Amino acid sequence: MSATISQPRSMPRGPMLIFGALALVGIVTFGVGLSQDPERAYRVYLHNWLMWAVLAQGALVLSSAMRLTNANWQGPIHRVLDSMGAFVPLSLLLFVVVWIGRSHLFQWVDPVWAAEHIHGKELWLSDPSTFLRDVVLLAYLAGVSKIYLYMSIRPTLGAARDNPSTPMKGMVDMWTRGWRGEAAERALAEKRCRKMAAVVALSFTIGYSFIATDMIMSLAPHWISTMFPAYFAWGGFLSAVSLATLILLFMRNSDGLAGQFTESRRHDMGKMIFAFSIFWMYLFWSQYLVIWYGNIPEETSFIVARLGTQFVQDTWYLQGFWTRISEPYVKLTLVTWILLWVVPFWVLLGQKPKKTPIILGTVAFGSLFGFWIERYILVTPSLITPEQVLAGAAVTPFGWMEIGVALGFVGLFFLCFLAFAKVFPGAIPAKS
Amino acid sequence: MAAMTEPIPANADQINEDVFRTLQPPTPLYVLAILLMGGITTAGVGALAYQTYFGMGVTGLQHPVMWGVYITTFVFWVGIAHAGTLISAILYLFRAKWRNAINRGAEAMTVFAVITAGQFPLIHIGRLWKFYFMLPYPNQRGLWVNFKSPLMWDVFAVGTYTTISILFLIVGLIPDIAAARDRIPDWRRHLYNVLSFGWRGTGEQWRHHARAVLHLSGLATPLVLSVHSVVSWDFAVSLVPGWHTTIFAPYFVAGAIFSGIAMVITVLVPVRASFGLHAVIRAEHFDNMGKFIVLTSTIVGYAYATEFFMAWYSTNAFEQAAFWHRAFGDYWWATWIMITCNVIVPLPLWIKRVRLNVTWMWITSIFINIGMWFERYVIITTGLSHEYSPAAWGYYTPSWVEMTILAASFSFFMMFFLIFLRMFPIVAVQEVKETYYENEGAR
Repeated sequence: MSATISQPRSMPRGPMLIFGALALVGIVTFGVGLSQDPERAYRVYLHNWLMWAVLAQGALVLSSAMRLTNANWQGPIHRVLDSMGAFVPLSLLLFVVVWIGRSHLFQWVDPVWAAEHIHGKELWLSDPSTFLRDVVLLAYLAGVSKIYLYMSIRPTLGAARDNPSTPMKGMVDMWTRGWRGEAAERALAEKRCRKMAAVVALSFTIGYSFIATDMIMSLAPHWISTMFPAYFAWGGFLSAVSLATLILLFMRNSDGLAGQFTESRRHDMGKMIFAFSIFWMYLFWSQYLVIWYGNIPEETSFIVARLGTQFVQDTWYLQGFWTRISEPYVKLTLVTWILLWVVPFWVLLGQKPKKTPIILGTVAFGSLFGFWIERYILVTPSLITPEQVLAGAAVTPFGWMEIGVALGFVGLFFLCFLAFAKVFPGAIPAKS
Repeated sequence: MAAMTEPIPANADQINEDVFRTLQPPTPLYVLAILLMGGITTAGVGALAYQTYFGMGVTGLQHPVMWGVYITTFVFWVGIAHAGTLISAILYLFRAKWRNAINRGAEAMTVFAVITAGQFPLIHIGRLWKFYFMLPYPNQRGLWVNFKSPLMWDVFAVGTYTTISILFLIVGLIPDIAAARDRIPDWRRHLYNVLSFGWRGTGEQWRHHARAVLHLSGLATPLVLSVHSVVSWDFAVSLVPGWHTTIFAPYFVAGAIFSGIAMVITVLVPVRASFGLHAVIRAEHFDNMGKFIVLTSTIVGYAYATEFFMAWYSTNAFEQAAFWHRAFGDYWWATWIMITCNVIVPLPLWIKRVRLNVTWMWITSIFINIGMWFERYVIITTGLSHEYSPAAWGYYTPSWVEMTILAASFSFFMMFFLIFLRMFPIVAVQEVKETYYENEGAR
């Protein structure tokens, strides 16, 4: 890596303005939404928080996985992943809003309701303790992530350290205390990161298993599935792969990355989306099949609320297919299935599409968008049941509030991403 | 450290010499081992004949535990068979070059493990001669198999897996058999002549060979996931408390890879020591296999924890009772053997020094084999012995017939492995040499 690009750069003005504006749109929308329909606002917020929190952490897990497997093809990819991890501390902060809106989201925060309906679970699901546990977990994850990022970034700060006019010089100095020279730092970072990577991956799995149980499964408090926590966490990981691919494709001609996201690396990222989406489908299917075959109402209820009665029948009756497929949420769920598995699998099967930026990018965007809808589908039908929808409750994934808050999260995520790249200029690398 | 003092092959000829040493005339120790394994296998055949003659009453299987040691052993050996395909197919696609010193051993092991496993459903049905009822073909008996039964899915999953494992082994062996053909002067020459399928080592043949391996890998990769998932659904789609749980498929797959890699270590360490293959199968290979063990052991541990947690969280009395029974009931000892061997014993493998210590790895691998057998035993017997109605609870003790057949399954597997060892190169010579020359170029 040449010394010149390790010098601090000014933030790219255009993107900053755009993402700043998006963040503002999100905040305003959420504010207006709160005053009009707080229940909907918090629901939308929880949906987007889940999507982006697990994605940011998932990006660091992917970076860790590359280190653990000695993936020597990665080149600049893990730097982009590290920058995506910059959202992790903010996600901890944003979780506070979920806590504020708890009474609009979780029935079990009412101890009287809990004692009556889910007696036996109060020990796990109760107002301060559940949230306290999750905050501790998220804070722990943020701490682990920070240590990992520090170890990973430190060797790139050499030039910034020697330059007295670096912005945020104090922080740079702190992060480069006891500097051993660039070569030694790099060797040390490799060794340390390798150890820390295992901790990041393990903490992610455990941490987000709890988040999935507490923040999604508990929305339908009678439902259980041992697969679900792992399924949710895997989704976070795959969505990070998709977003990283998208970012790399967008930035492949920018000065830090020009010539780095080569055809063979696109091929590799394409393979990852392909393989991981098959694995996603495998997890989904393994969960679905066991529930379908077992046919226990308390388990099938979750599937029925999302996939309708079509997919829990004891055999395949075609009569009435379109009626059943038109039950609330069913088509939307099928769209996620198409975006998350059908399209990535069939389109990325060959070599050419994986290497072609426009095709790979479209599939990656589709997958990301698919996850946005999937997270919506995990949250919403538990709060507004299909029966309520049939009785006339208004619900749409593409209302002004849903889109506004989603844009806000996109803005905040990329502001973190860009700010990280500014403070740690080596984070987005140059030609080597 | 061990890795540093390990010899590296002096030249490509030494690799040939090292590997083909296994094909030299047998030592008395080898003959003794074959006789011992053959003896135990014969005892197992005797026990099976006894069971077939007198009926299933001679086993410990009775209401409510109708699945016992036989099904446990079936699942165990199917699990063992997973390492071969993982190493041959998935690591091949990931271009993990280190696999080539161990893939032949793993593939051979896979084939023998599947063959061992495949016998157990037949032994379990008692009337061995009726096994063909499971095959769907139009017949004058007017019988048709029940495709809604996961046991039927098993027939197809395991059948497909057997086919592809054998194909993998044979295709990989072709160039090496040709090398052996030109080297071994005795009667085996004729066998090699047939099995090398006219291999001359032309560019055209190599190109086709490489394509064949690539396509087989692509086809075999989904099988690594599917076979043990289907086996897991034998249990998970039922309503037995402790069986009906959604995480079973990935949890079984991880467990299968875990036990399979452990078995690769268990069989390859003695082979390496007795034939002096230290320069070919090196400590770094054990290091890498150790990493797989750490990963899969963690997944298995995660699944244990999730199951216990969800049983409690569900507030379902039957589910809670099943898991309480599992940990503290009649079979507490089996459960704790399982947790100790599968989660606690592999913990030191997080440390690289330990993974490079081949003796330690070998001992750990044996513990894992024991632990993984007990995992299936725990799932099967505790589930069935403690279902919904307390009036229908019971305790299962395997009879001597079952234990003899269990022991025979190990000796049967080992016997075939030993015979294979004498007949064919246990290391993929061509691939090891390929890597050797690549490294040579880099040096």
